[in-house]
Amino acid sequence: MPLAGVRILAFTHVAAGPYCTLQLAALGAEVIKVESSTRIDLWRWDKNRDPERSLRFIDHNKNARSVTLNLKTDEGRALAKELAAKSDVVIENFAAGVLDRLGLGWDVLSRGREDLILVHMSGLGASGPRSAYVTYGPSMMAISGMTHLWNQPEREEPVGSQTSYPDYLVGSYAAYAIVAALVDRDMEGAGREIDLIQLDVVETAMGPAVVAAANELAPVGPKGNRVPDAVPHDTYPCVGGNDDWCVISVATDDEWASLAGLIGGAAAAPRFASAAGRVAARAEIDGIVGAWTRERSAHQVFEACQSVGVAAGVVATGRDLMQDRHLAERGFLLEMEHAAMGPVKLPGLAFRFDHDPLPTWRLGPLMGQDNVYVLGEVLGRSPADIARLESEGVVK
Amino acid sequence: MTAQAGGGASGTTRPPAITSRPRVLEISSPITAAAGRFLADAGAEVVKVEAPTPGVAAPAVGEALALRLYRDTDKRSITIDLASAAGRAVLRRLAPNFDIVLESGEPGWLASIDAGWDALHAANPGLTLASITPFGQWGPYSHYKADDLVVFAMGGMMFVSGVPELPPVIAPCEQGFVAGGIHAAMAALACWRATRLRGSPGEWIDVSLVEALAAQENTITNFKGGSDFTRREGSQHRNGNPGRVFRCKDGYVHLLIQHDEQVWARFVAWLGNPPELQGEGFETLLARRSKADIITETTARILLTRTREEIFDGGQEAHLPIAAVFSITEALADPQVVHMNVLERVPGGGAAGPAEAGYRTLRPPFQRGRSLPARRPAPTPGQDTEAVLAELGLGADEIAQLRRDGVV
Repeated sequence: MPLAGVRILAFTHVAAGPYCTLQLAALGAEVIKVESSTRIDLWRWDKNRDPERSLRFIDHNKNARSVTLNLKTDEGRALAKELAAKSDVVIENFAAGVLDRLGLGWDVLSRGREDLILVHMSGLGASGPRSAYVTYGPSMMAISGMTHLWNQPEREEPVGSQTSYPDYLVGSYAAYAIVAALVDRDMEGAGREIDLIQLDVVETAMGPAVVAAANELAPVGPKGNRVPDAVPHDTYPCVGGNDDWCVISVATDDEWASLAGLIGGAAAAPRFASAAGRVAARAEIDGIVGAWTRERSAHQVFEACQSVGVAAGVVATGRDLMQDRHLAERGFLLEMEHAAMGPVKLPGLAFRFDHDPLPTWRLGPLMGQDNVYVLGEVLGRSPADIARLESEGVVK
Repeated sequence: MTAQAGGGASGTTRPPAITSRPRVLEISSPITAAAGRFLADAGAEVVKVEAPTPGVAAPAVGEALALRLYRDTDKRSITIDLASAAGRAVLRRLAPNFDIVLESGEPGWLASIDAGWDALHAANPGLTLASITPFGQWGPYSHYKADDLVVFAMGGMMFVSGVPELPPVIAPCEQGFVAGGIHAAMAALACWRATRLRGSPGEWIDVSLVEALAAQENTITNFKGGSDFTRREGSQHRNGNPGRVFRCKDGYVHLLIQHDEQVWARFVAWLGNPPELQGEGFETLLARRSKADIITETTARILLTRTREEIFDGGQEAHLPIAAVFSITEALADPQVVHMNVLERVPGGGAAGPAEAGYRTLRPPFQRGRSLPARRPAPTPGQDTEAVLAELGLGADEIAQLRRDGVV
């Protein structure tokens, strides 16, 4: 495991922070999540309001260890500081200034460990006119320009997405930044404090559009699913109504010939044989393709197109993903047993190795599940001392 | 994992355990170029292998130029014709000199030109190969074709994006490639670090773009059986009331009021305590869900009377998660973004056209506050062919012959 021997101490909650440490855990790092029943991670609150029965929590916190420290107590904060001194990386996404107020800021933690890497994931940065603003993933989408761009061009009102996609961008990017900072540490012998500004990461994910705008190279606006130089290249309706859509993307004349062979009839017209001819007849072709897809399910369109070498896909629902034969065969869908929920099915990750085994997955921890390991083995506290910390509400 | 993980507390800085940055060969495609961008941001030396264009290539303009300037700043470019036997021989000779190779060919393609994992690993056991493809290296769909549109659809992100009355819609800027690129760069850099620190062998990393997207957004865990899965609802957030984009006097804003009862109370006060939102039934998020229509209508009516700036700054002053909806141009001009200094100037000299005079691109987000070497302008295709081949030990005669034969 490439990150074996690296310990990450995480003061993170909700999606972005845990999605970051999930990647690092998958690469072999030990992740210790500091949480507390006095301030429960929002991600633990699923519909049922039981913090031990949240699927999204046990998914995003796979392989993390949980220690419950009450940071409202002096001793809780002292234990957190001790843990930081035994960690390679500390990552946090408190509101701006909270870490300092807890007495766990860079000045303090870097005295305990000079080569520490401390990562803040602030929304808009530590300084500047709007630095203290409260932001979530969807706010990042709005402020960055992504909401404006993520739309069908014919629709004036910006839509963006109901998702919190920026949280996942920021989470995976933060994991990459930590790997890069570990390399820097190993080269330079020194740690550092990283203010990973979430807005900065979202702009980076739209790099080409940002560079086009910043240098006035091209107009930057919503484009939807179409591209200027290829037809068909869009989403098409299928037989099952609004839950059933497919995508088809034809890049070459040969691919069009294959698709036209499947569709037959009007699709065979010679004037559609060239890309220029198809671009000129975009509406007509989209109509022909849409009439063909409307009589089939997205799965049928997908398999029929792929069988003749045409790029096509199902606009997959959660059910499609859960029942996908490819994802199942690749072991991407993890079937596991949870202490409170019984059998659960969760997604895996984006990468895997050919030779090293995948991590042995553990579901996201019960609250305080690893108190004995963290306080006993990592910090060397005796069982009696741990019992005292629990009875005094320090470990809570 | 043992209690020693992470080492003990240290009072001294360590001697450097790694002494050079990774050398990366990007067998170039829109997919690998995204991963190569991230590695270059961490200081890796990235060489792009591109296909030679016959005759004089027209310089990129417009969006294509923006793409090149963003993705390829700091990289060097060599052109090799990988369709020819001689070009493939050059690739086989070059590749083992690198620490990380990025490729996105159809599974089996690299092996078919004798430069697959087995050959590369035998030639250089410390080399890490990142294969980044739509569906991964194996499995029933591994040979299926897909571009960004197909990947975004198959990964489950498209179905939950867009308004119900229009077709589902893709995110801007090839997010499937971005997600795959981040994960590939992360895994490859971690593997390379392990080879340097511990002498571990290199790895073959299999990154699936579809899986990179399917792991996100709880699309899978939100499926509760039957037809109970998340559907697209425009900008309406699952757990927010209000939680969507609203029109205001001079533009649009985004509001997300979720669980916290104090936030709800502050929100109602900030709206001016409208009578529609008083009384019973607003106590909890769950209760407010059944009042979603009246909450949304009332919010929409009041916000129409205020400007975007008033709402953004005034809402935040009340500690409410309220955001302006900016275009990218507006975002770049925003005082906070200007203060953050997200852009930096790259000197001219690279890709022809406007780039000759220099241009502005994004500063790597995690390098904030560090002094880094000056950035190298994005190269024209093949600009560094001679230099790179010479560094890797090819003689001047050999290079000249390859050029005459149209191989490079």
